[in-house]
Amino acid sequence: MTSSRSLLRLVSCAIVACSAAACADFYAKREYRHAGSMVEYLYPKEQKAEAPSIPHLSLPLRVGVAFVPETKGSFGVSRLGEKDRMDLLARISAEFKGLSFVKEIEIIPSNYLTPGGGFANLDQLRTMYGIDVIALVSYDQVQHTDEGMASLTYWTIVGAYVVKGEKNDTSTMVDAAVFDIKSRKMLFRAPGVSHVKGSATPVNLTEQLRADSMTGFRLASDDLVVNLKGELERFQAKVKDMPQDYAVSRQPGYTGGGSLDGAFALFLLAAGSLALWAGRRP
Amino acid sequence: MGRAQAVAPRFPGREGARFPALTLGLSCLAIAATLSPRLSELLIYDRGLILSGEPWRIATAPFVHLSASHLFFDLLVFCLAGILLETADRRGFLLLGILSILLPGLFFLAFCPGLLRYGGLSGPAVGAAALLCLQRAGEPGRARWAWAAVLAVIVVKTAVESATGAAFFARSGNEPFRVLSSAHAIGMAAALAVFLMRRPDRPRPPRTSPAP
Repeated sequence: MTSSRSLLRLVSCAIVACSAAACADFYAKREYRHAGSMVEYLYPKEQKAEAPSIPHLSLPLRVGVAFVPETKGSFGVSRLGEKDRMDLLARISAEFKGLSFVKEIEIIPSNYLTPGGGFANLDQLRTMYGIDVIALVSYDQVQHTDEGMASLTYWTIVGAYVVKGEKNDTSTMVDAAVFDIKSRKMLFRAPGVSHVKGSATPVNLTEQLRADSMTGFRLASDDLVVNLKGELERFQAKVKDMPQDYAVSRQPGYTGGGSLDGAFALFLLAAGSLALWAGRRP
Repeated sequence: MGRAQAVAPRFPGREGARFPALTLGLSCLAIAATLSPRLSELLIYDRGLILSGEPWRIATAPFVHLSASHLFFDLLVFCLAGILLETADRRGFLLLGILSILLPGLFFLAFCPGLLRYGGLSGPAVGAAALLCLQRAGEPGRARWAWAAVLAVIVVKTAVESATGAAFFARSGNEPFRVLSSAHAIGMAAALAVFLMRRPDRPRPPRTSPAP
């Protein structure tokens, strides 16, 4: 009897210990991550990176904006839905709409971009939509419950971002890189980052993480739009200042001139003089 | 540059300036705006920049030219017609200037979304030439027929350009641009409006003498 009670206690202790460990594991190590990587899309492992050439920008430009496909293995309580993506792309395209050198903007749905498609996929889009340049938007969001671990490491075209995270925090990075498709050259890029402090409790963890995820994307998008404005201005100045790096031509019809052709101007001059002379004759 | 002074009117209601200050001032502005790339970029009609808060470009665009030849021929007609007009009817020239400078930009902004950049003084130049012809053709004397003939040529040329879409693609340096016949038509319409407003035989309200 005593031995069976002891065995029961032992089993109970073991169950409690395992449950506690499982809970600790559940709450201490869980990390949600969803991302769409620019590098993985443009330069998949088996594909060699092509050397960019000097971009030839034929103004006005037709610009495409698209999200890069989501990276395999993304997981989490919430992912960026198609509607949220379209909203962000509309905000980005609004920044391009005000530019005199942009003729048209095409918002390209995500499913037209194949994972790891690279520039071959962009060439297809160029033909399909008649675009010259494309603004590719990528993102990386990490939500975790560990304190102090590096929450976000996003490999951008220009380098890695590492953001130190706190418990239940949501770190988000949205990045827009604009490429001239034909020359493979990146014209400019603008990042947007956000960090939402975690306030979730174990009871409302899932709902709170989902809400924080959306807030994180919204704040990072706001930051991106602000940075994009600055980068666009810098790019325009760069094109003017560095003609050796950017070949720019203008399509007919883009610029209009109130112009009198030489023959007509000379005719007016001659006819006016004749009329004045005729008027002065007695 | 001397201050413009009034001279005796050739016709009632028209008062000419002794010195064509306005014509020469606007011509100097056109030369400066074309020769200085920074000023050109600041003053040219740029649809995107106008819509994003730089409305002065509507009024300043006619002073920017896209090449030296573009500037030369526009300025040649504008200067000669402007000097003759301003010294004969200063107010009429001022009114024409305001209309023919502002209206093309407003027209392009409202009806030509595909036109992103524009510059050139040909609208005011055609307007000044047309108003000069209209006024001189109405004066007595043998020369009236010569002015009427010049006016007819201007009208026919502008009408043909407008009707055919004016396949006159002029090249200005490395930048091809299309000739905007609508700017010429607007200049002519402005000239006609000013002529009708300032006709000598136009009924005018009786002047009231100041109360004693």
